Amino acid sequence: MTEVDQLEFTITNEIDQIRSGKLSIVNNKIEKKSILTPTCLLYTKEGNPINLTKDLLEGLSNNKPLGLHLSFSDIYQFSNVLEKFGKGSHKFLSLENQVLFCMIRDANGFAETLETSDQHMMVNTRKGKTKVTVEEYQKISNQYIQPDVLSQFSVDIAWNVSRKKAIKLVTQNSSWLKSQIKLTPSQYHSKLFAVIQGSKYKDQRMLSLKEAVAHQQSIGGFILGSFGSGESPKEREDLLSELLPQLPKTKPRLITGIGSPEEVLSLVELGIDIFSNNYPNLMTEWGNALTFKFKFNSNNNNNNNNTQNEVESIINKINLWDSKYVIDKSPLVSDCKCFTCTQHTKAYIHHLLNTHEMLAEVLLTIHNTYHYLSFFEEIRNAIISNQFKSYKDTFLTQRLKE
Amino acid sequence: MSNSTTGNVENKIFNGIKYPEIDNLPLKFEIIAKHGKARASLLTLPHHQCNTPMFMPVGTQGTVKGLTSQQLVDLNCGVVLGNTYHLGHRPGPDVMDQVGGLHQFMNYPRAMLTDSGGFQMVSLLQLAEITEQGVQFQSPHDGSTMILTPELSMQIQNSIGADIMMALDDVVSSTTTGPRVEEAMYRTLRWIDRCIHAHKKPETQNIFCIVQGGLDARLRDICMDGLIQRNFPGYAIGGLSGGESKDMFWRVVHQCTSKLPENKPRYLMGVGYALDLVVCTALGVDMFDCVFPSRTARFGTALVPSGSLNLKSADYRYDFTPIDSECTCMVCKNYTRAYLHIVAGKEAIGGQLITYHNIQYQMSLMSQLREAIIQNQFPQYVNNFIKKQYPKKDCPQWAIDALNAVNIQINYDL
Repeated sequence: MTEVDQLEFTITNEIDQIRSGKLSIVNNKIEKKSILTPTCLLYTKEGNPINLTKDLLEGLSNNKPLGLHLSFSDIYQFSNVLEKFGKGSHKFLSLENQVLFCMIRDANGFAETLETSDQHMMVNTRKGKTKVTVEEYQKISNQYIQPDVLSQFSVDIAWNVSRKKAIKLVTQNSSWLKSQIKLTPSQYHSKLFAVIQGSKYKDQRMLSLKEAVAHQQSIGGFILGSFGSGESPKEREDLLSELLPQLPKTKPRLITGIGSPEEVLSLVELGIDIFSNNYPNLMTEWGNALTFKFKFNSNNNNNNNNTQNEVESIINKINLWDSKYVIDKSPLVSDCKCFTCTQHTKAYIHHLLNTHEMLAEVLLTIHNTYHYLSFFEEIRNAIISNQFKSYKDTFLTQRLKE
Repeated sequence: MSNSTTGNVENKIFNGIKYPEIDNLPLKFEIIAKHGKARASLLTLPHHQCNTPMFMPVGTQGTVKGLTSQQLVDLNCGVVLGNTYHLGHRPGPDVMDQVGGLHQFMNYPRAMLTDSGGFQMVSLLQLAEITEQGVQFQSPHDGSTMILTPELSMQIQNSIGADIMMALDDVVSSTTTGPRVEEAMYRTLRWIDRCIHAHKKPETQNIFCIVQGGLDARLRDICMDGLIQRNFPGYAIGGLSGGESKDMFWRVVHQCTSKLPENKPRYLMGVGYALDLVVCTALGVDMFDCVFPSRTARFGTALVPSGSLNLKSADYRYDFTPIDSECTCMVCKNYTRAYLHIVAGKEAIGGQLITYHNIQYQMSLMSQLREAIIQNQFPQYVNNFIKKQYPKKDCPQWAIDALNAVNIQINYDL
């Protein structure tokens, strides 16, 4: 039998809580693929990154692996197909080159959860809700989906739930974690990410955190659950700044549902490594192109003589529905290297939106994803060169308030 | 009519218009092999040298549904169509002028063709009134009254800047009978001279004329006489594929390809089903267009040598083979029928992937037909094609008759 892939995380640089790292998929001590952190995961629907065929996806990252968020409820609907297929979701979805994170929480915002019991949770499918037990979840995930990272069996709840509900979930969550670790063959442990619950209640969060940390030998990372569920950025940061220093540094931390560049920078500063969100896709849905400036150097020497072009480019995003782009032959962002910007104009994308052509979303998805990934690349560079704090400061001064 | 000769080109004057408009047309057509009436050719246009017979994907509003221009090049498309009616509305000729034409606008480096907008007369007839001046209709976008004249059609097509423009014709539905068909045919001839007169870019854009005349062989003949005298760089066969019987359809095509000049490209408008492509290639057609491959893809249907697969069907739920195991396209190399079954007809990506494959199917069918003509294997190829598509020996009789008319016998037993 071939060995099961192992997940490894190495820190490449750290200052205070801020870290850059590498998440690698290793088989028999040979690295198969890796992604650098901090990073974001691409959102998928039915297992496919939205609007991106394989050629477009690989072109987007220059054939480098990307992290992708698979929604368990999407994949669950064809888990019997995966069972028959037998070679896992990478191959089935033609995403062999990518790092797949199988998550329960939908990265597209937050939906108030469904009922649970000690034995099961409800999963939303096209045909309605279905009960899924920890056993089924473990089996479907590890045997059929075979992701690189698997979320613990857990459900997110709103920030403002009652204390009673939060306590109930934290208790449930701990027992689910134990059951899942027990059920999971040890060679799959490095892929399992424990989820920390507890909503806004700090004592419950700490309880949940301690429980997860107690099992750190049997897990590969941590997910900060139930954020982006109604809290203010300040409430979130206050809580996370208490929680994150308590986590072992050697394991990656993932958060779902937080995506705006300001929020990302704040959470990177607190020690988050992986962001799973739908931010670039939401921009696309609204007909927006991300144009915010993220280059560190250009931030520094941008004080004098702002040309028209530069004024335009410090706008955070532009809306391509705007009829002012009707004959605009410039790319979305003038120095952007993405396929959309090197090949197509604002005028064309405006026309495609105006005529409700599918290609509008395709081209905007390519640009927005590329732009967002490049932002993360710049964050990593800033961390590696020990300049993250000044990068963050200049970025925020530069950035227009939304 | 008067004739004069400049160099080797014979000029003719009709209604004060010189034909051809200029001596060095931006088109070369070179037949490199023939089998019976079927031809394999090189069609050289300002933006691309195309191999014919060819299928031209339809990019109605400046995009083939969901595919990037780069993907069209990857699929080795030659000519892509744009619709004058749609592009004339949005973004409109002023914008087209300012963005430098459709090639620049959609960044498609290869050749393009625009229709005249006339076809919309049929599809929007309840809104349209046809007079000698042009077609008057209400804009479906804002309700305003517009009139599409031959001059306006040319003006818009000049702004779009495609390698081939279509003359505005008076289209009647192929099921129309009676004096209206004859009127439309004669009007098409009258409008031709106005089109040529209004054409501002003869150095970079070609005008193809359109043979009309419904299903009436006499009218088709008169129309062709009038058009051939004017010596166009290419000829389209219009007014078909609109609900007429296939038996009538192929006879009209056969009649036209028998009479149209051998040394000019022939374009059969709105035809794109595999069997029609094979039969009409045998009848001597060089160019085809149709929305069918991309439209059917969005409903979840993939084209294969044995016909088509409705990928939404539960039959494919556990089918881990590609759409077509012999196809080398990006989709067939990477995705299974079982995966496509999940997204077909539901997610945008399903439409994108199946459209990609279907365009590849059309492209490879045409290049196989071409290769068969060049290799002198055409009848064998046609036989194999029909055996794959109709393994139960139920090939429609019209196709067998049409092929017989050009001495290709279908023999299931060989």
